[in-house]
Amino acid sequence: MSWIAPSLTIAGKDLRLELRTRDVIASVGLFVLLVVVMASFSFPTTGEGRDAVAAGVLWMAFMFAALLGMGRSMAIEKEDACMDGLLTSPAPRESIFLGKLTANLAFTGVVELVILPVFVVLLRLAPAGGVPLLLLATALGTLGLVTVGTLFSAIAVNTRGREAILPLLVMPVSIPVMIAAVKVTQAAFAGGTGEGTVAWVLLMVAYDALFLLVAIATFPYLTEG
Amino acid sequence: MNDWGYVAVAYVGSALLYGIYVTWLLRKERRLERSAGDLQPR
Amino acid sequence: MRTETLPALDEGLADVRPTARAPYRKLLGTATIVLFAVLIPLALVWAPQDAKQGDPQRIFYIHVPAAWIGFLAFFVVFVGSIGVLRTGKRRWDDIAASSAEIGTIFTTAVLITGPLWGRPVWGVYWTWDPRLTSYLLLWLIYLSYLVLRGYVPEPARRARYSAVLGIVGFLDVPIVYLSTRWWRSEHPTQFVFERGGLPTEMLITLLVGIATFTVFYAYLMTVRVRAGRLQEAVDEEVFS
Repeated sequence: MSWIAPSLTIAGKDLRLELRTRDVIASVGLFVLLVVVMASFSFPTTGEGRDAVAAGVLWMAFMFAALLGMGRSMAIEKEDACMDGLLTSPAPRESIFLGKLTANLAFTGVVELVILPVFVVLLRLAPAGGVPLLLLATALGTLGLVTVGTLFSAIAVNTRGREAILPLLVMPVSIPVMIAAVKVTQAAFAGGTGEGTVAWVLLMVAYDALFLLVAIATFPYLTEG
Repeated sequence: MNDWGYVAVAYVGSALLYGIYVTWLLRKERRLERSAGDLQPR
Repeated sequence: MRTETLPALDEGLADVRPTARAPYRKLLGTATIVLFAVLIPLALVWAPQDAKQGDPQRIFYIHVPAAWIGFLAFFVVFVGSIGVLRTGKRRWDDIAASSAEIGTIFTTAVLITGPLWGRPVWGVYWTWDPRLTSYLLLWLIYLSYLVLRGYVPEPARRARYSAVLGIVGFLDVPIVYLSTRWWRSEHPTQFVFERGGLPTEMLITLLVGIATFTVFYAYLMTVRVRAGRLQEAVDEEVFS
């Protein structure tokens, strides 16, 4: 378990940097807020499909937030050859990944926690008893999305197109966890557990676990050369 | 378009797709062989 | 928990120097042509007309084998990707990259023949059922693999990066299938494909189709892998 300390140190570094500059949260947060506001114009505020559409729009906004944040986070390492500094340190490669992952989760989580209440209010949703489920869906879905995204951002940042290629890599692969998150969120907006909701939650757990392992196993190879 | 029309488009379309790819691939290989010069078999 | 250096991608000349054409290649090429020459009349004439779907069902004989190859090719990409990371030998990257390109062609054919079959038989070009959706995702992952390779000019890094994508992408496909299956089960799909009880002639034709496409894939692989190695040799100006 020698991973924990270095991971926390690295995550702490990112968080302190962010607190000082408020670089990521400001730009990403504002962008996502704008997306939400604009989307809510074209929105049925009542009626059958409302919960489903609302869940879909919310997760698209979350995905934007995650992609923008992660791209920026890895790009920071590229500036001034910070990554080389990390690599020559005694920290194991895996904990570089975990540190980055934790920081990305924190950034994305903060943006999401701001967006959620705004969303609920703007669209006059009444999740009531579904709030714990809503938070669970947000947590599990974000974990899956950010795990895959952090891994791929280590690739994207070293390509000719830089972070621009990140959405192309992340989106197809994250489809299962996105579908599940939308389904559970939809049930939460409807005020409680739907029928198949447990299955969707389990799918998210399985997805998160699988890709976390795969990411930890393959990340070291990305830092070679 | 009648039933056989769909069949025709599917079969001919596939044939074109595969045919063009194979042709392109073999042409590319020939071009590379020339660029790489005479090759000794290993 | 590895902190020591990982195997760097083998850049030795011996590995890069291309071989002459593989001796079995001509055999594979001829077999492909023969098998297609058998398959087409079988599929279009000999196989009986489907009672419910009519003649458009014949598209099935070139659609299903292509779908099978699409999966097989992606599995080969997966195996090659693991090979790249574990051994660092370039030949695994050659295999992975070749299979990805070829797999994309077959997957494209699946996405074209599918709607052409669906429209006359079920009235719609597209539906978000699990099989088609997974296939679309497979195609997108293939494309992102190829695009990624285009964005990384340096061979060693290109091999490693695409290897990671190849592994993650392959593991994702069955999960996509399962999740879209659950998703769509709330609106039951009309397209239950009864595979049990295929008339014998149809089964034979299908098997011929699968054999044909598999041999075709093998032939394409021998050509494409060699072309890839020739390209590397040219890129690195290795002349014999």
